[in-house]
Amino acid sequence: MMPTQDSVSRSIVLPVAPEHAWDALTRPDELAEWLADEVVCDDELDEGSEALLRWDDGQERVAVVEEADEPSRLTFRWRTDGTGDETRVEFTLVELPREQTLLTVVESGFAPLPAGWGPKLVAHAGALLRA
Amino acid sequence: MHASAHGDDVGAVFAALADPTRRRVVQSLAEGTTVTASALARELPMTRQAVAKHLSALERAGLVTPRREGRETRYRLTPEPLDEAIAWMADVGARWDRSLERLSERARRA
Repeated sequence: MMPTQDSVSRSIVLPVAPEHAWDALTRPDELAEWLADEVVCDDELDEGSEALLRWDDGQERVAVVEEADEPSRLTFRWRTDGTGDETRVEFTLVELPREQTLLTVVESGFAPLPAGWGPKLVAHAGALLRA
Repeated sequence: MHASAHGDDVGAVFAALADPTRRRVVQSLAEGTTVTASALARELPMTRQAVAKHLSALERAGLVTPRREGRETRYRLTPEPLDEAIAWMADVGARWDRSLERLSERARRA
């Protein structure tokens, strides 16, 4: 059996310090530049805060922040309005030399996706079915 | 396609396949063409009742399709929902790729 992950994960290196990258993850006006087309939140994202994210194609999601540990870790749950779909998003920021940041995002909990069922195992099952 | 567009269906597929016994049932079906619950029970081995229960779960997820033939019901594998599940997961990854690319561009300009 292949190793499994109940998640989708991506990492990038940003040419800015974590403190600067943190703003991009938590300020509504910044988030509206890259994560969604419109972000409605009273203030910067912090523990317990709720943000409404809108996309130009009509999709809306509500994000509820679980952890905000500046400038290294931000997690929130977000759900699509009108569906039961809710997943968890976790950002971690690691300071690199020369004012750079390793940013990793993990989206997990594809409800009601059970633990251990991620893309790899699904792909494996897909290959098996087509064998 | 949105990441959430097929969330419920995808959830049913994942839930159906989460059980190792059901994955074995799926594997057996993948090797044959159509099969009855009794034949699967002899092969796996487990009781016919247990096999029937697993086949029902797979049927609810659209992964198997039953057909009555006289006194027996034959099942065949219909893997299309799994393709949808795979596409959905891939779409989640593609969304992050696009978002992070925008973030990266912004950071480079900063």
